[in-house]
Amino acid sequence: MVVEYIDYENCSDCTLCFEVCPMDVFRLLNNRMAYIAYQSDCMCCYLCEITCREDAVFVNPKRGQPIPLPY
Amino acid sequence: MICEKKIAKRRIEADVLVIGGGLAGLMAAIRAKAFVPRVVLVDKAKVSKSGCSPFAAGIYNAVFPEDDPDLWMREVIESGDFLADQEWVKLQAEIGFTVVKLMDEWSQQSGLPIFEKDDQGTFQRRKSRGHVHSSHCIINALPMMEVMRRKAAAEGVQIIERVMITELLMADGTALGAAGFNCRTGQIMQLLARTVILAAGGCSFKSIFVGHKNLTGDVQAAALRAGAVFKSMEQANSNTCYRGFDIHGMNLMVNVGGRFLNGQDEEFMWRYNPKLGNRALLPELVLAFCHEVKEGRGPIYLDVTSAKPEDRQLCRKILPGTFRAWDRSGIDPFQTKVEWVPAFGGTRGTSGGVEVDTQTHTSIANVFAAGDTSAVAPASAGLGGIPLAYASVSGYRAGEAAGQLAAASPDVSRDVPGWEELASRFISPILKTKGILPDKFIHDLQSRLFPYDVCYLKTRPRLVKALAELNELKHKVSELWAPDIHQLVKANEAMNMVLIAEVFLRSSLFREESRSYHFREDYPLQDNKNWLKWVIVKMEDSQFKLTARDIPTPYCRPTEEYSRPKGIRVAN
Repeated sequence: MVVEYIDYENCSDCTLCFEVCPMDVFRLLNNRMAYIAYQSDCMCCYLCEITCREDAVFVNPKRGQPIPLPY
Repeated sequence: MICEKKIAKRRIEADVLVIGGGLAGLMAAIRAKAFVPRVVLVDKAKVSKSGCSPFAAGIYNAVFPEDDPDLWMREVIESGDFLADQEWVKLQAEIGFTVVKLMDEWSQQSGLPIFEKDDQGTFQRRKSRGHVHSSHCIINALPMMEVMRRKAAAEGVQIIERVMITELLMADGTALGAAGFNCRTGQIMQLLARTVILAAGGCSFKSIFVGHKNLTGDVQAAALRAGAVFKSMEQANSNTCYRGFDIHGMNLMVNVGGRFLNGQDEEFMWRYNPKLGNRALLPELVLAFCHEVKEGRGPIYLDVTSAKPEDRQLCRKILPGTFRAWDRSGIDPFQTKVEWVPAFGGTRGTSGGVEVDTQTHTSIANVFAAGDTSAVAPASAGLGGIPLAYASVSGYRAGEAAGQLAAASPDVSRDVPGWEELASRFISPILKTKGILPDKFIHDLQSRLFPYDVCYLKTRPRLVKALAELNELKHKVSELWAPDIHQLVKANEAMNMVLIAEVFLRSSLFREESRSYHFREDYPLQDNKNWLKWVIVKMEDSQFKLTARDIPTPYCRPTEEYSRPKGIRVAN
C-alpha cells in the first residue's frame, strides 16, 4: 500500500516527489522520470502528494512495514 | 582500502558543521552564519522535509511579555517531575520570545505563515496538553520549515542533502568533523570543521507515528561512540496514535474537546489526573492507557465527536496529512470514536540524549548539540509545545556558541587519522553477498523493545530479559547485508538503533524508582529522597558506564520525599 502509484498520464517529470521524500523511496529513470523504487519504506507522510502540482501521486495511509504494537 | 577501490570520496571544509536540517539545525546554521563565513548544513534527507519538525502538530510554547515567567518555569519543571535543567528553563523563559519574534519576522519577509494570528495580527494562544499556567502558539509546520530553509539559503549556508553522517571524526579527544556517505550514490564524505553542531533529532526506532521513521538516532549513536556523555536515557518519549495508520495531532484534537474512553466507554483519564483529565501530560496518558489495558479495560479510544464546526476546520487546516489519511480511509473522527494506542517515541521529543550545558556545549571539545539530539533540557514530559520551542531556542544558542568558538579557533582542516577505517565499518554491509536484511533486523529489534511491559510498565526481570535478547541481536550486527546503497542507509540505521535501545534499557534498569515517562512496577513511587538525580551514561572501551548525578534545584524543589508518579490511578 503506502505510496501506491504515480499517474504518468498527468506526471510532468518535475521530479519534486523524488526531491522531497524523507524516506527516499523514489528513483529516477533516465534522470527524468520518477518511479516508486522502495515502496515499503514509505511512511505515508503525504509530502510527495502534497508537493505534486499535477495531482499525479497517490498515497494510501496503510503502513508499509508490519510494526509491532505495544499491546 | 576496499572503500577506496569501490566508492568515490569527497572532502568538505567548514567553519561550523551543522548535522541535521530540522528546526534546530536550520536555526543553528542561520545563527552561526552571523559569526563565521563557512557554515555547512548536512542532512540525511531533504532539508525542511526531514526529521520530525515538518510534522510538528501545530503547537509552540514560549513565554510572552504578558506571561508570568516564574509560573511558566514552575509548570515546565513540575511537568517533568524535576528532571529539567532549571538554569536552562530560566534561559528558555528569557530568550524564547526573542526567537519567536525572529521567526515571525522571517515569516513575514517570505510571505509564508508560521504563527496563526487573529484579525488584529495578535498571536493565537491556547491551552492544550498539560497547560495550566502556560499557553501555546499555533504554528503551521510545513510553511515554517520552508521559511527556515529559505532564510538559511539567503544567509549563504551551504546545504548538503542525502548524506547520512555515521561517525564523528576525533583526534586527541577533540572533534574535527564528521564522516558519512551519500544515500544515493554511496560517495563517502569527510566533513572537516572547527566546530560541530549535532542537530539530527533523536531515535524513534521507526515506530508508529507520522513522520518519524527516518529518525534513527544516527548522530546520537555517533556521539556515543565518540565518548559523549548522555543523560536521562531512561526517559524514552512516547506519543499516541491511531491504531490503524500513522497520524499526529492528538494534542490539538484534545484541545478541541477530544476525550479518551476505555473499552467500557468510561472517560477514564479523570481517575488518573482529576485536574487535567484528557489534557494530562503524555507520560500520564500512555501509562494510563497501558494500565487500563493490563487491567482488562482496553482498548482505548479517542472521541472527538463533540468538536465545534470551527474547531473541525482548524484541525483540518493545521493537520492536513492527518485528515487526508482519515478521508482516504473513509473514517471521520468527528463522527465516530477511533482506537488510540501509545506510540513509542524513543529519544525523540522530551527525552534523553547528549548532555549539554546552557551554551549547548557537550562533553566533547568543539561539539555542541541542539534539539532532540541533546537531552532535552526543559525535560517537560509532554507539556505541549515545549520540544519545538526547545529546538528553536537550543538551535539559536548552539549556532551562537559554535559560531563564536569557530571564529576564535585555528583552522583544523586536515585529514583525520583512521577515518578511512571508520568508513570501512559503515560501508561493510554493502560489501557482503548475503546476510540479514535491515528490515528483518529492525523488526526483530522493535519486537523486543515495543511491548508495553518492556518499554512502559518496566520491571527488573523483564528489562534483564529484553537486554539479553537485545544482546543476541547485537551480535548479528556484523551479519547485516545491504544489497544496494538504499539498504546500506537502513543497515546503518539498524546498527544505530540497537545501540540506542541498549542505552535505554540499561538506563531503565539503573533508575530504581518511577519518574516522568519511566515507570517501574517494582519501584512504583517517585523517590525524591534518593533519586532526585539524573542517570548519566558514557561509553568507554565499548562498555557502558552508568552513574547518578544530583539534579540542582535552584528555583523549584519537590515538596514530598515520596510521591505518586504519573500514570497511576488516584486512590479513591
